[in-house]
Amino acid sequence: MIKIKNLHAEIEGNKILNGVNLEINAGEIHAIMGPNGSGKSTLASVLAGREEYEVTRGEVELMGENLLDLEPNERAAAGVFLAFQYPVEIPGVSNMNFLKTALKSIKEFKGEKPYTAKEFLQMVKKNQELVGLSGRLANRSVNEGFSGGEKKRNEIFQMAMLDPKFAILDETDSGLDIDALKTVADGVNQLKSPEKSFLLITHYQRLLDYIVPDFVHVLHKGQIVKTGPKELALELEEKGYDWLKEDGVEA
Amino acid sequence: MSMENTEKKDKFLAGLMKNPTADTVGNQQQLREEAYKAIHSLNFPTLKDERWKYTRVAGILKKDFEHKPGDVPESLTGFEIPDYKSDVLVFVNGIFNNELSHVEKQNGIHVLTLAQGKVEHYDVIDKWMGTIADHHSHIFTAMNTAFHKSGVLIYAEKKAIAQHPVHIIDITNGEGVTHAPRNLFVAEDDAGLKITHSFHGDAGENFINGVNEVYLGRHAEVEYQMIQQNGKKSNHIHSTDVYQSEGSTFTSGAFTVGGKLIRNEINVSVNGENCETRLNGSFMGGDKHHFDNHTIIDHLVPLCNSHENYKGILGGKATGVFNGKVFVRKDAQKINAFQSNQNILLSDDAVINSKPELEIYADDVKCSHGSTTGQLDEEALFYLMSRGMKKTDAINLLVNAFTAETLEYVSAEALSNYISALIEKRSDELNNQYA
Amino acid sequence: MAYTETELAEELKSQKYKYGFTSKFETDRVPKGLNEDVIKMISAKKKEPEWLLEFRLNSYRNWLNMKEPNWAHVKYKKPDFQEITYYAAPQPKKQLNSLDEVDPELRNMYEKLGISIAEQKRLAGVKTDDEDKKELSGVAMDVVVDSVSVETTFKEKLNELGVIFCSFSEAVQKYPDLVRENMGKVVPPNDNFYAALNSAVFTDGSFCYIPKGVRCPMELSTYFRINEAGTGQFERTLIVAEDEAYVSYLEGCTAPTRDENQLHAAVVEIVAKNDAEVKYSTVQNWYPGDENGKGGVFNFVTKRGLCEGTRSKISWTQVETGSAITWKYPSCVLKGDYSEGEFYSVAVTNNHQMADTGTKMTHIGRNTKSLIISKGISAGVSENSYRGLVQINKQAKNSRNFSQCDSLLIGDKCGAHTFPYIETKNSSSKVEHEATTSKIGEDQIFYCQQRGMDEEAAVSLIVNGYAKEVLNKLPMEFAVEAKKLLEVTLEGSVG
Repeated sequence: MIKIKNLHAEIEGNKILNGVNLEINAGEIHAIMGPNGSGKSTLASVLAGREEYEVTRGEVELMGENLLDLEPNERAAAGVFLAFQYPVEIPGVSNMNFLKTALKSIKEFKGEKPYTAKEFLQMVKKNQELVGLSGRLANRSVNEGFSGGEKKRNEIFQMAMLDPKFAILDETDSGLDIDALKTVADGVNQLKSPEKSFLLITHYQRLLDYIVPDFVHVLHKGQIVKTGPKELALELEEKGYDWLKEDGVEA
Repeated sequence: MSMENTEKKDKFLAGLMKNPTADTVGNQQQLREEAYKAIHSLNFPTLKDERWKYTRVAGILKKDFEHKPGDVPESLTGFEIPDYKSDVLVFVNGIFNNELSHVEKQNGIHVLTLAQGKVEHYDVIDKWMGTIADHHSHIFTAMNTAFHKSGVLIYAEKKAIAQHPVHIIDITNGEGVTHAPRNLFVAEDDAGLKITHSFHGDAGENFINGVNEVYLGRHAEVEYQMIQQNGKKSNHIHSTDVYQSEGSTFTSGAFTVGGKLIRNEINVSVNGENCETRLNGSFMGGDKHHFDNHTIIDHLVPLCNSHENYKGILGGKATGVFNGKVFVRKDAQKINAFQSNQNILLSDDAVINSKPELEIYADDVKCSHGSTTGQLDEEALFYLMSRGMKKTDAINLLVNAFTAETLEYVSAEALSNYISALIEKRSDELNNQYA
Repeated sequence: MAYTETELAEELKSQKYKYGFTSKFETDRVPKGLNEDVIKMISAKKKEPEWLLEFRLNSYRNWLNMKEPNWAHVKYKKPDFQEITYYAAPQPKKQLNSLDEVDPELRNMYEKLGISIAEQKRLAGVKTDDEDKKELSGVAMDVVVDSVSVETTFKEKLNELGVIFCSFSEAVQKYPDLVRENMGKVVPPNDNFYAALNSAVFTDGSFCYIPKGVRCPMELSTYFRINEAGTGQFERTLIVAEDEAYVSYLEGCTAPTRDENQLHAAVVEIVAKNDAEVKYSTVQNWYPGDENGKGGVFNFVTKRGLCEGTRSKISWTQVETGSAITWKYPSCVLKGDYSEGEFYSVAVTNNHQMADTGTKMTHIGRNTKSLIISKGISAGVSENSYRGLVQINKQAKNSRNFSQCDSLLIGDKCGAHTFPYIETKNSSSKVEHEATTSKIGEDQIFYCQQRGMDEEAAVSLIVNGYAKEVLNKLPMEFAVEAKKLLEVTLEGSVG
C-alpha cells in the first residue's frame, strides 16, 4: 500500500525526520509511538502534504505512485486521509456542505459520477451511527463549538464518508474519555478491510487496547528505532521510552 | 480660510511672537524658520479637516495669549507625587525653575533643560530635533517649533538604563498665558528611560502647545506617562511623536482629569522588527470639557505588536473624542495590533465620538479593534449597594475598576496609586455634580 | 430566478463575467453633455409636470456649486460629465403576438438575465396565456435598461392588493401626488454631489407603494442594466410603505464589458411608516473592469431609508461584487420611536477594484435599534474599506447599536480598511463596535485540501462560510446567485 523510504523532512531549517523507513501492506494496521517531539505528527503532516514541511530526501509511494509530487487534495483523491490531531474550525460552513464539496471534488478528480442527494444522505445516516455522532451536528459549522470528543468523532465520520485507502490517525485518542475512545475504535474496526491500511499515531498504549495493530514502531529523533508486534506497546507503556534511547538505534 | 480667519490667525501669531527666541546653535534657527514658513502656508484646522472633525480649535484664536512669567510656588507640595523617587524639573509658565528642581547625576543619563542641552549636547539635539515631529504639515507642531522657548532634553547613552524616573512638572498660572514646551527624549541602543510629565494650572485661561519627540534606539525602552490636571480654562494641545527602532518598547499613558480643551496626539512610527508599542489613557471630563485623544501607530515593518486601550468617562456637557488609527504597511507581515476604546456617559448632555480605524496593506496580520459606549453596569452597582456600599462609593469603585486596565503599564506603584487616586477624586466630583 | 443552481453553476464555470454582452437594439438618445437644455429635453421627452422640471433644474443648479467628494478611500479619474449621454431609451415596443416577433437581441438579453419564458413575454409586451400565468409566481420584476424601465411584471396581481409597482416615469404620470410628496424627502436633491446629479438627470427607475396593512405577497425586483456605450445610468427608486405594510425588494445590476468607465449614480429612497417593514436586498454585479483595471463601472450610489413611523423597520442587505469603484452607504434614519435599522453587507474586491462602502445609522427616536454586520473580502491588488457612521442623538434615549465589521485578506497586495465613526450623545444608550482583520486561514485551506478540494474550491467554501451571516439574509433567489458571484469574483485570487 504505502512505502516510505529514507524520508527526511524539516521545518524552518529544523530537521525533524531523519530517514524514516516504513512499509505498510494492504489490510494492515500499524502504530507509531514515541515520546513528544519525536516527529510523529510531522510524519503525518508530510504524508498529507502540509506545505510548511520541506522534504529534503527520500521517497513515498502510494500504490506505486509517487505521493510527494501530489498536491494535498490530489493525495486525498488518491486515497490518503489524515484524521487531524487538532481539527480546525471553519465558521459558517456546515458539516454537510463541507462533505458534499469534498466528495464532489474527489469524485470529479477520479472522473466518477457524484453521489445523488439520496445516496449521500443514506451514507451520512449510516456513518453517523457508526461513530455515534449526533445528527444535529450535521448542520453546524465544521468543528465549530464541537467538544474535543465530537471533533475526533467527526474526523472518523469524515473518514467513513470519504472511504480512503490509507488513513492516518494523528493522536486521535488524545483528549478522549474512555467511552468516546471506544466509539472511535469501533468505527475504525468496522471500516477495517483487506483493501485498507491504517497508520495510528499515538503517545499512549490505551488506544491499542481497542484497535489492535499488526505492528508497532517506535519513532525517536525522526527515525524508527524499534519495530515489534503489538506487545511492544505494552512494554513501552511499562518501561517508558528511555530504555530505547539508551539502547540506541536498532531499526 | 476666510479673510476674517486669516486676520485672526495673524493677530494670534503676533501674540506668540513677542520676545522671539533665537537659536545660534547648529541648525536650530533654520528649523524655526522652516516652521515659521509652514505656519503661514497652513490653515488653522476646522471641523472639515478629517483629523479635526470632532475638535474645534477656533476658540483658541479668539483670545490673545502671551508668553509671560507666573507665580512660582514656594514648595512642590501638591505637585510632587508621594513616595515617587525621581529627578524633578519644574517649569512655571514655561520658565525653568532651578530652585524647585533637582537632578541626581547618573552615568550615561543626561537630564537637562533644552537650553542647557543646546550647549552640552547640541549634537544630539541637532541630530533629532525636528526629525520626528512634523512641523511641515501640522500647524500646532510648526507653531511649537517656531516659538518654543523651553523644554527638556533627556538623553540616555547606549546601554544606560536610568535608575529612577524623571518627573517634569509643568505649572501654568495667570490669565492669557501661553507657552510651548518642547521636549526631546533620546534613548540610544539598549538604553532605558522613564518619564512622567504632569500639568497643573490655576483658573486662568491659557494655551499650552507642547511637542515631545521620542527616539528609541535598538532594544531601548521608554515609558512616558502624562498626567493632565490642567486648570478649568486650559487649552492644551500636545503632540508626542515617536520613532521606534528594532526590538524597542514604547509605553505611554495619558491621564486627563482637568482642562477645557485637551488634544493629545501620539504618532508612533514603528521602524524596526520585534517592537512593542503600548498606548493607554483615561480621560474624565465634566462641565464643558473637550478631551480628545488622537493616536496613530504606523507599522512599517513586520513582526511587531501594538496594544492600545483608552477609556473615557464623561459627565456634564463634556465631549470626549477617541481617534485611533493603526496602519499596517505593505509587507509588514505578522503584526498583532489590538485597539480598544470604551466609554461611559454619565449625563445626557455628554458626548463621545469614537473613531477606531484600521488601514491594512499586509495579509498575515491579526488586527482588531473594539469600541463601546454605555453606562456603568447597573447590575454591578446594585450588587455593591446591596452589600451596604453608598452609591457614590459604589460608583467610584466601578469607575476605578473600569479605568484600571489603562494603568496596567504604569510601572511604578507610587505613580499608579497617585493616578488611581486622581481618578477616584475626579469620579467623586463628577458623581456629586451629575449623578 | 428561473435558474436552477446547477445551471447557474454550469454557466458561471465557463465564463468570468457572464453578463458582459451588449444588446444591440436601437436606442433613442439625447446628445451627450449636460446643461439646462438637456435636462429640459429629458423632462419633455418624459412629458413631466412643471414641478418636476423645477426639481431637476434646482438640483442641477445646486450640483454646479458642489464638489465631487474625495474623502473616500478610492482613487479614480474623475468622470467628464460633458462626455456622458444622459438619456438612452430602447425604442418603444408594440404589442406582439408571440415571442418570435420580439427583437432577438432583447430576447437574448432576457435569457441571459435568466428570465423565464412567461416573464419574457410580459417584459416584451407579448400576450400571455393561462399556462404562463400559472408559471408566474414568486417575483415581480421591473427591468431598467440604460435609463428606461422596459417593463414591469405582475401588475394586475399587485393591483388587486393596491400595491403599486411600476416604473418611476409611469408613477410620475399616474400618481403624481404620491411621488411629489415623497421624492427628495429622504435624500434631498442637495444631499451630495451624486445625489444632486441624479436629481437633475434621472431618467427612470422603480416606484413602489404598499398601502396600509398590506403585506406584499411576492418579492418585488428591479433589474438594472447599463447597455449603451457612453451612457450614464441615473435611476431613482422610491419605496413607500404605509402603516403596517411589508415588502421585500430586490435589486440586481449588470453592465456589459467595456473598456471605458461607465457611470452609475442612483438614488434609492425608502419611507416606512408606523409598523411598516421594508427589506431591500441588492446583488451588485456591475462590470468590475478587466484584470488590469481597465474599464468597469463607477458605482456612486445614495441609498437611504427613513423609519418615519413608530416601530418601523428598514433592513438593507447587499452583496457587492462588481464595479471598478464603489461608493455606497445604504443608511437608515431612525426617526420613529422603537424603529429599527439593519445593514448586512458582503463586499468583495479583486484585481484593481476599489470599494468604500458601509452605512449610516442615525438614531433620532427613542428606543431605536440598529445592527451592522459587514464582511469585507479583499484579493488581488484591490482596496476594500468599511466606512460607517453610528450616530445616537441626544433625544434618542435607550437606543442600541451593535456593529461587527470583519475583513478578510487574500494575498499580500490588497488593502482592507475599517473607518467607523461612532457618535453617542446621551447616557442611556449603548453602542458596541467590533472589528477584526485577518488573513484567510491556511489551516482551514489545508484541512479542506486534505479532504479532497483544490485550493480554489477551499477558498470559495471558506469565504462563503465567512459571509454566511449576510448571505442568509438574502431571499433564496438571490442567495444562490450571490454565492456563485463570490466564487467568480475570487477566481484566480489564490496560488
